Amino acid sequence: MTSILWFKRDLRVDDHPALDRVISFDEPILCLYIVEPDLWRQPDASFRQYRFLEESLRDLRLSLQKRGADLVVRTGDAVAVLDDLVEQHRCLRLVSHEETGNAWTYARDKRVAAWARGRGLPWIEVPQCGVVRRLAARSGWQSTRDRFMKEPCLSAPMRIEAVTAQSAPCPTPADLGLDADGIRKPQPGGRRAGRDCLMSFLEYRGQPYRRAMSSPLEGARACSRLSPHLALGTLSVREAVQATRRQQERGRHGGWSGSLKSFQARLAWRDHFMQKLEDQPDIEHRCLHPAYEGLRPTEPDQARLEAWQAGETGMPFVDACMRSLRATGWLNFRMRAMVMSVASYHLWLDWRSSGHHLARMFTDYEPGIHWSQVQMQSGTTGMNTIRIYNPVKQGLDQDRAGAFTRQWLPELSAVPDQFLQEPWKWDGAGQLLGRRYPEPIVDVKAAARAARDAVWAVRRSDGFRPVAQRIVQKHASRKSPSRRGRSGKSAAKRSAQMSFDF
Amino acid sequence: MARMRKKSELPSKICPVCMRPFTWRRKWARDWEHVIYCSVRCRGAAKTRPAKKI
Ligand SMILES: Cc1cc2nc3c(=O)[nH]c(=O)nc-3n(C[C@H](O)[C@H](O)[C@H](O)COP(=O)(O)OP(=O)(O)OC[C@H]3O[C@@H](n4cnc5c(N)ncnc54)[C@H](O)[C@@H]3O)c2cc1C
Ligand SMILES: [Zn+2]
Repeated sequence: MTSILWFKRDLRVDDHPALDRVISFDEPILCLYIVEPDLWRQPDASFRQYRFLEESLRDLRLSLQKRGADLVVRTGDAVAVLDDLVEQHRCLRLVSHEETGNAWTYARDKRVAAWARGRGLPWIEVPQCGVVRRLAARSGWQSTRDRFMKEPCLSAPMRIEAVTAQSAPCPTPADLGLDADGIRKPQPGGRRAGRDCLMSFLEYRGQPYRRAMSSPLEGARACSRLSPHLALGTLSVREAVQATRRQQERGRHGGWSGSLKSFQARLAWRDHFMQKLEDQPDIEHRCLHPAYEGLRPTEPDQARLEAWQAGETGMPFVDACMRSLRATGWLNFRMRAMVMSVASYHLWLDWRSSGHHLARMFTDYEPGIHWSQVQMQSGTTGMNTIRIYNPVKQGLDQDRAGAFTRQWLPELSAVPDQFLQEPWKWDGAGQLLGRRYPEPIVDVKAAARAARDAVWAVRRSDGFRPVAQRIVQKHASRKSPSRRGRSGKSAAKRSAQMSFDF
Repeated sequence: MARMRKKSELPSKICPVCMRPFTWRRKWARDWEHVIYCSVRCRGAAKTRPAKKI
């Protein structure tokens, strides 16, 4: 008589509600991870994500072994693997967390649920963050999340009574058809690295967070860099929330309090955004506001898409960001928003193709955050103000000294500082552009204007508003306006910068 | 893209304590997979705090 604990995006033993639940049955546990080849064939999957996963599984296995258990890794279709194990080990139930993943995992979970029903096997799914399944309405959501976050973290059991089963080594990336994808400076996976991230952020890196997060160079150190860990659950969101709270209670000075507060807000946005995908899984594939469907060509202009992906658009700051992303697997929020906005407005590319590229490039790919943000930055939600980032201005503001741009675009070394973000205005441009570095593939100003006009035409069209209002009802955050208004100018500025309100 | 210097072809990682990239060195040859920190200092910083639960 055993239970299967199916690990998904929750690769830890601490503060693990599903583990806690399965232990309560007081029966031997089979700890399982299934590598699903078909998942890794999806257009949002990549080598770098798999690498991070492998390292995290290695760490998870060690933590389980320390407790007298082990991790059973199987490769194949989830239903087939589960069916086989249930048969062999006479399992009584399946326990896992409630996953809010991409459409593929949603469909897989429906198949697993149907299979489990068919076998009469209970599948118990428990939440691991503030996302609520089958949420009736958004009002009250925030306080439900707050309550969850205040509950004490669950400590890892000292011993786990386990059944062992044959385990196979993880397939290599090549076995799964994952080619090296240009990652040169990966963030290490695993709980230990995740814990170090959180600790070093809260102890010293995070002090300038609020001021420095939007700069591509400073932000790389001043942001927490917890994202891939939260995405794979090597750390729980609750652990991060509570560790931050403890630091806040210490009442630290010198920029800390603003930074920690702002960090807490982002941890809450994570759940807020993931809730949208939970409520409406098709935001990965369809414009939230249907009036935007077909606005951009469904088949994206390949030359433009490729130039954008390769960091060869001729817009230096965009190119630097895209190249840096390829090499490191990470970009800060502001730069993600900008590269997405440029793809969708200036280059007029359908958000699905550019969004898939970014998903693959992000080690921290988190479908719920990702597709909500992709749509927001493409103006297809119908409920946010349209924000078209100006890549020249962003470069001037966020990379004042030009160090970041120069680091990733060595071919611009001869360009004087004042022309770095607009090399086409430099009188030496003739020797450079079209030779070692491309002419901008669009006219930055004209392209933005054309895009703005096209999007506004949709907004003004008949029937747009009633649908938009329904979307707001369903998805918008319900923060009380008084709280938002209290800190006056800075709050207004902040929310305009982030426009997270979708 | 960039002219490749030798050094940039060696594998690198990002240290989870200081968040700076560091590059493979000969002394890690056998154990690179398991190297996490860039320096003794960063490893020390990580070690001094494990008792206190994060
Ligand atoms: C187009 C686009 C796509 C994005 N795709 C992803 C994605 O696939 N995975 C992902 O984790 N984040 C995504 N983000 C949000 C954000 O950019 C990253 O979470 C952040 O840059 C990760 O770095 P960090 O952990 O150092 O962030 P920190 O600033 O230290 O924030 C801590 C955590 O808060 C959450 N968070 C931060 N910003 C946001 C936000 N704007 N919305 C929701 N949650 C947030 C994340 O979980 C993050 O790890 C995307 C943003 C944009 C504009
Ligand atoms: Zn270091």
